[in-house]
Amino acid sequence: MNQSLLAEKGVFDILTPRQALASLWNKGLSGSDLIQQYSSIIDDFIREKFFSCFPSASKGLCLVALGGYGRCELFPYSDIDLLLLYDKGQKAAIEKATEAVFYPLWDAGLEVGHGVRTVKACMEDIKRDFFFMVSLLDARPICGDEGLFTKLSEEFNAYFRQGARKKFAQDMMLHRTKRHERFGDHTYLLEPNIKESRGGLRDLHAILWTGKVLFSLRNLNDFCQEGLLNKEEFEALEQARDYLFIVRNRLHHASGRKNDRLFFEYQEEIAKALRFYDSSDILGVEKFMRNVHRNMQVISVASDLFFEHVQDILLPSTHPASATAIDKAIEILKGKIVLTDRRLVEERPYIMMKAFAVAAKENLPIHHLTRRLVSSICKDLDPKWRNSKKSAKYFIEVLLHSKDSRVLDQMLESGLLTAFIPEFEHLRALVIHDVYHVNTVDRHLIESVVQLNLLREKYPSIFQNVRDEKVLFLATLFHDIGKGMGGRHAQKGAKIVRKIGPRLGLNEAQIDDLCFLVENHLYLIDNATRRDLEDESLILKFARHIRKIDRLNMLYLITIADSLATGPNVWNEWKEALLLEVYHKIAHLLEQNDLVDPDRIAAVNWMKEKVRGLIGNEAEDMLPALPEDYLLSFTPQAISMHMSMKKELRSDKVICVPEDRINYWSILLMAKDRTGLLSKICGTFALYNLSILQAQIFTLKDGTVVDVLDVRSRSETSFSEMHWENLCKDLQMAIIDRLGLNHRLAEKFSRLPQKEHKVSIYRKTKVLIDNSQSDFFTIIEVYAQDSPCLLYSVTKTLAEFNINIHKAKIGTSADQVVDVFYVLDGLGQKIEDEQLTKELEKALEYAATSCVL
Amino acid sequence: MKKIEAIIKPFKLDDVKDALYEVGVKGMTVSEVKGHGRQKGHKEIYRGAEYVVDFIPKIKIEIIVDAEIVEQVVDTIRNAANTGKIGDGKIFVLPVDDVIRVRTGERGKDAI
Repeated sequence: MNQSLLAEKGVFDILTPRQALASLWNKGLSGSDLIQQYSSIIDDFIREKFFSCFPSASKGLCLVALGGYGRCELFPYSDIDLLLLYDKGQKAAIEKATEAVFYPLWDAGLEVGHGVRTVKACMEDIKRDFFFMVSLLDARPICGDEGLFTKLSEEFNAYFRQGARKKFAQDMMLHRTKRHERFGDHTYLLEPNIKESRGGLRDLHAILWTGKVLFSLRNLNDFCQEGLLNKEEFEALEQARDYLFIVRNRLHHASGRKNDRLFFEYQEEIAKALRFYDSSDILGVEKFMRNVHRNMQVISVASDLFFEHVQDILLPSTHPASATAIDKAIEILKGKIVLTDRRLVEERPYIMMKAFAVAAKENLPIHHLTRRLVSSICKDLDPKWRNSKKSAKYFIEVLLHSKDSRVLDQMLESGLLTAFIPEFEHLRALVIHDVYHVNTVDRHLIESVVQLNLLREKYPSIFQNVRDEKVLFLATLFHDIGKGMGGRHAQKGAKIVRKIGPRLGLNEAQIDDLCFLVENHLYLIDNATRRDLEDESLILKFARHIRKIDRLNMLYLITIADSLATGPNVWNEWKEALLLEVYHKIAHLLEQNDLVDPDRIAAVNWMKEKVRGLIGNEAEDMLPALPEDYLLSFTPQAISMHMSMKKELRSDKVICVPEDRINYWSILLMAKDRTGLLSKICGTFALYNLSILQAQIFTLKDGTVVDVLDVRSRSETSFSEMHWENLCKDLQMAIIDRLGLNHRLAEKFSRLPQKEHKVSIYRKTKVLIDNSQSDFFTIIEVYAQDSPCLLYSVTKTLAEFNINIHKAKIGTSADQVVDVFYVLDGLGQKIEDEQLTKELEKALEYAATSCVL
Repeated sequence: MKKIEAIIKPFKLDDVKDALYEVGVKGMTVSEVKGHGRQKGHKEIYRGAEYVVDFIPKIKIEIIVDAEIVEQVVDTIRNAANTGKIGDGKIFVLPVDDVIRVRTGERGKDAI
C-alpha cells in the first residue's frame, strides 16, 4: 500500500489508533475479527509513518512485527512488538526510522516493545533469549526491505535444521511447566489468567510454535491434515481459541489496560456484555465462567496430549520396551498403560475402567493415545453399559486408590466418567460464584475423593470403624451432585444418587446410607458452628437424626474431605475443634443405645401428644422445657397437673403432695431450684422419721424442680397419722434457711437408742466420681451403709461445694444405699479439676461414713 | 471513639450480629480465634485415641463506635451472647485515637 492510497482512506487524519479501536468496539466487533482488523489498522498506521520518512524504496531497513502482533492477533491493550531490522550500512538511517515510527506510536499511548538489530545480532540473541526466539517464530514484515526479512527467515530456519529442534522443544516444555506452576495456584482457579493459566492462549501458542519448529506445521489446519488432531479435536480447539479471543478482547475493554486475568470484578460485567443472564437454577456469571473453563479445558487437554506425543518422539523412554500384558487388551508399555485392542474394548467397555483402576493402583500413567482412544469410544457407547457391575467394581477401585487427582482427572477429561455416570455431566466446569469455592464443581468432587484418601493416615481410628468404604467414597464423589439445579443441592443430590446406587450394584441399605450421607453432608459442620454444643437435648436430636455410629464416622470424614477440597482457607484448626466436639458428643450418645432406641423416641412423642391434648395452647411454651426422663416418668394427667401447679410456684415456696401407696408413701415436691435444695428436703424428711426408698429428681429447663420421693416411716406411724401440714411448713422454713436442721437432727437422734445392725457384713463406703459416661454431667456414685441422716449428710456436703444436683437416683437395697447424682458446679460445668475431685471424694466419704450433721 | 472487642461463643455470632445491626452498628470485623480463660481446655479419649483440646474455639468481634453509644453496644452484646454458662466470653473496651477511611481520607466519627 502506498502513501496515496492511505491518504485516500484518510483514516489517520481523523482517528488515532485508540479512537479507531473504540470505533471497532462501537461497531460491535469482537474476537478474531476485531484483533485482525486492529492489527491491520496498526499496520497502516506504521506504514504511513514509515513511508512519510522513506518515500522511496528503503534498502537495508525493514520493520518486522513480532509475537501476537506478528500473528495478526493484536488485542486492544497488548504490546506492539516491533523489530527494526537493518543492514550494517544503514546505521545512519536508524535514528530517522525510530523517530518516524516509534515516537508516534508512543505518542498515541500504545505500549511498544521495540528492538533494533541486524540479522547477525538476531541470530546471536536467539541463542541467549528464548522468548525473543519464540517471538521470531511469528515474525511478519510490515514495510521496508523484504529481502532483509527473507535473509533472517532463512538463517532462522537453518538454525533449527542444524539440530536446535530438540533443545527448543525441551525448553518449551520446561517453560510450559513453569508457567503452569506460576499461574496455577488456587487464586488463579477462581480468577483465571486467560493467557497464561493452564488452558490459556499461551498453551495453544506453545502447541503451534512447537509444531512449527518440529514438524513445519504452519497452523491448526496443518495439524489436522498431519493427523495430529482429528476433525472434532480441531474444531473444538478452534472454537476454544475464538472464544478466548472474545473474552480477552472484552477483558481488555473492561479493564481499560493490558490485563489478562479474569478478576472477580470483571466476571459479572463481561458475562452481561456477552449476554449471559441469570436463570432460576444458575447465575449468568456462572454460565459465563463455565464456558470459559470448558474452553480452557479443551486447550489444556489438547496441550497435554500434544506434548506427551512430543516427548515420546524426542526422549527415549528409560522403561523396558517390551510390553507386559495385564489383561485382555491392557498392557504396560514403556511404563505406561496402553489399550491394545479397540474392537475388544468396544465390546467390553469395562476394560477401559479396569485400565484406569490399574493406573490408580499401580500409580502408572495412561498413554495419551489410549486416552484419546477412550474419548473416541465413549462418544457412542450403548447406555446399557452403565449397569455393568464389573465396570462399577473397577470404578470404585479407582476412587479407593486415588491419592492424587491424576487418574480421576483423566477419567473426567476423556469423557469416561460422564459416560458411566451421566448425572455428572452438568457438573463439568460448573462454577460456584463465590470467593471460597476455588474449584469448579467437578474438580471439587474429585479433589474431595483425593483428600478422603489422604485422611486415612490422619484419622486411622475413625477410618477403621467405617464398615463400608464403598459407600463412603461414592458419597464423597457425589456429595455436590445436586449443585447447579437452583438450590437445596443436598436434597436434590440425594434423589439423584438414589437412582445411581442400583446401577453400581449397591443394596438397599447401602443406597439408604449413600442418600443419607449426600443429603446430610453439611449437617455436622453447620451444627458444629451454629449450635450450642452444651445443650444435651440438641446433641440427642443430632444423634437421633444420624442414628448409626457408622454414618457418623462417614459424615465426619466427608465433612473434612469436603472442606479441604473447597479451598485453602476453608478448613482450619478452629473448625476442626468444633467438629471434633460435636462428633464426640454424638458418638457418646449413639453408644448409649437406649437413648436412640426408636421405642423410646416414639414413647416421648406419644407423651408430648397426650400432654398437648390436655393443656392445649400453653403446651407449645411448656413442652420444650420438659426433659425426656421427666416425660417418661409420669402420666399425662400428672404432668398436666404439675404444669398447672407450677404457675403457683414462687422462689420461696414449696409444693408438697403426699400420697398413700399402701406399701410406701409417694411425695411430690415442687420448688424453684437452688443449691442445697435436696439436702433441705432430705434433712426435713429425716426429722419426720421418713426414710427415702427411692427418689426421682427432675430439673426442668426453666429451673423448676420436680421431685418424687418414695418414703417409708421409720416409726410405726400410719399415713393418716402423719402431720403432713407440719412437714410442709418445716420444709418451707428449711428452704428459706430458717430451720436449723443440724441441731434438730442431732438432738433427735441422740435421744433415740442406737439401732443394731441386722447384717453382720460391714459394707465399706465408696465414692466414685466419673466424667467419662456423660458429656454433660459429672456422675457421682455413693455406696454406703444406710442410716437416717445419710442422704442429708451427703447432699449437704455437695451443697457446701456449691454443686448442683440435676438428676438423682436413690436406691436402697437391704441396708446398702447406692446414690447416683448427676451434678454440675455453680458455673454449670462438669467437675474436672483433679484436686477438687479428690477433695470432694474425701469429703463425701467422710459424710457417708460418719453422717456428719 | 472506642473500640469494642468481644469474645463470644461461635454459635452466638448470628444473634450478636443481628442485635448489633438493630442498634445501628454498621460494620464489624469478625474472626475465628482460639484461646481459654477460666474455662480451660480438656482432653477427650475416644476409642483409645486421645484428642487434646488446649484452646477452645471462639469468635472475636471488633467494632469501633462513638463513645456515646458504648454502653448501649456493650449491653447489646452481653444480652445476645449470654447463655448463663461459663465460657460466654468477655468484652473489652479500648480507647481509639483516630479512624481514617482509606478511600476518602475522612477522619474521626465520619470515618466510622
